Amino acid sequence: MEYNKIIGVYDDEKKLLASIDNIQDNGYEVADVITPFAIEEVFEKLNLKTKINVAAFLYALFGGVIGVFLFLYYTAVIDFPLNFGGKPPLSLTFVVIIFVGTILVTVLFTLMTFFIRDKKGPGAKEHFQYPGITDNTFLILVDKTPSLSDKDIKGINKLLKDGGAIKVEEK
Amino acid sequence: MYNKEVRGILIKGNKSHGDITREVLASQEKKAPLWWYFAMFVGSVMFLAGMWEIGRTISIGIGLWGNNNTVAWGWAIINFVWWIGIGHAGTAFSIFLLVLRQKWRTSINRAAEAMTVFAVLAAGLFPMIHMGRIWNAFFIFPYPNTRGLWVNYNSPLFWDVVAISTYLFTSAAFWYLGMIPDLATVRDRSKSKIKKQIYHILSFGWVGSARSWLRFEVTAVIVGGLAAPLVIAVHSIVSMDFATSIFPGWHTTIFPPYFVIGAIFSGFAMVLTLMIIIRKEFKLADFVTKSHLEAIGKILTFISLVMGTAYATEIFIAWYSGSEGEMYTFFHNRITGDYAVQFWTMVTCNAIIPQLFWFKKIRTSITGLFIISIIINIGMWFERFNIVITSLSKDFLPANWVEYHATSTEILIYVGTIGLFIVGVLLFMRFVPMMAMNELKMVNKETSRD
Repeated sequence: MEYNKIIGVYDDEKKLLASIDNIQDNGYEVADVITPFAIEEVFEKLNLKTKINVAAFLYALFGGVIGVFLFLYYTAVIDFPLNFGGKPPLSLTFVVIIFVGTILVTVLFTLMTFFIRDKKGPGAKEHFQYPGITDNTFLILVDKTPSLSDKDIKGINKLLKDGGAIKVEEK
Repeated sequence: MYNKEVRGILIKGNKSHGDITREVLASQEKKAPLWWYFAMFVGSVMFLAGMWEIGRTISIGIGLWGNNNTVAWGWAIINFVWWIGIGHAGTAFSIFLLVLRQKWRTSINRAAEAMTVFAVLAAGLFPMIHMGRIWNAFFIFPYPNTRGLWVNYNSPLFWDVVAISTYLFTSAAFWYLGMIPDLATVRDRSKSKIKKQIYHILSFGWVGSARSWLRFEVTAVIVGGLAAPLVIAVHSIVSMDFATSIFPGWHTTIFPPYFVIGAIFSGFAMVLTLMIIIRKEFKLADFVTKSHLEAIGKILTFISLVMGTAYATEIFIAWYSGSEGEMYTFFHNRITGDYAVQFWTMVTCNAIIPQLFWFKKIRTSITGLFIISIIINIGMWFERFNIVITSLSKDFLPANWVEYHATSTEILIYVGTIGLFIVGVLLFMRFVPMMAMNELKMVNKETSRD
């Protein structure tokens, strides 16, 4: 469910990281962090995980190695075995095509997974907008869930400000 | 390892993240300089001239080329291998340096990857027009035609089709993926409504939330990590087009590594040429410092030594094999004989001149680096000339021996592909962030102390 947000705006990644700690140490949950570049510490602090790497391995194994091999086997051994210079239809040269084909299949499907999972595509709508977030502005977003009392909201505001936020907004 | 300042300052001038955005995008946000229009005009004329000759080749036939029964592969295959070689640098540069945790790649990887895409596009044209009947080009893909016949999986030429199309797709995808966050920056800074709309479509709805960044990073590492073995595979496969035959000079096991290292050599040299132009013309010397260029110079010195060793090994093995054909090709058709000029140009440009980089004065001189980077690419073209033409022109049957001369059609098609590359690179300079801003910002704070 989409809630309104309390937004802490920062101009420095070190202050941002300290603020995330502050919020979490006080028992509140950080809904999202928006940054102009990837910051590994943020992934760790928010305990974010992705299974794209596992998906890529499965694509490589089933789509690439097994899929491409089966395709080659069907076409060159079952459907139309040809005699090229006396070489057997099931030959070691398959390895070359399987190697490259596995890379092609894995790259293609991994990219598709990323775009689908992250809801990205040509013309996709930006799910959040704020000036400077792709330039030099860092944001911490905290969900204004119904369970938060006014006191909590004030507390979160204070924590964000104390952490060095140049501005705290609610929207 | 990342915190060690082996290479000193990567981004000069104590810049803030905002400065990086402004300076990298300045070239796009301002009016294009006059030289850009001039270069665009020259590039377009070259490209159109090439297209015209390709049109003539398709409508009249391959008879317009200097190829003959003996030298069946002429300039088209030389240029194909040359362009593919250049096209290897982008991914090699970007990925190998990523794997080796070389932070200095961040200023250069975007341009190197762009170069890859245009070079591979230029390369891909040659085998297609070489078929003569380009409208049947789809025969090379594995699909059952009317006779239910599939392609020959034992042929290195088919491996080439698979490898090069995979390489084009993977390198273009890797390049574009890396660009998405920066295209979003351009979108957010655009004042014109049309420009904003175009970059909105191109940036795929990127915002920069932590979840997106994590998925993005993992995807980029997977795609990049898979592109690295692909670089090795593609040029090894290209070399097998030659090495699996029995022609003297081609029939050798050294070809795959020799081709791969040669490709990286020419590609790195082209990266150097391009980065020197970009840093000067777009005033980006704070991002591409002399230390960056010196690092490429050092790599080129090392690769040049490997190239020299490869040339020497080829000659030694020709002598050691005792095979008359091999001996004749190397000692009477390359080192001496009809193609001695081309052979010695290759050796001088690739194995001797780059050794000047041992002198710090030359390695740190922008003019010196620029001139030698161009010399290397000339040398690498002659290397492919030596391989293709000398072996084919004089094979085992002296009755078949002929000389090969390129015709104006072949020369103009080559010029056309250079035009295609120039136009592509110029468009890239104007409409896409030339440097990976998000990656520069990542390394900015730790490596920019001045």
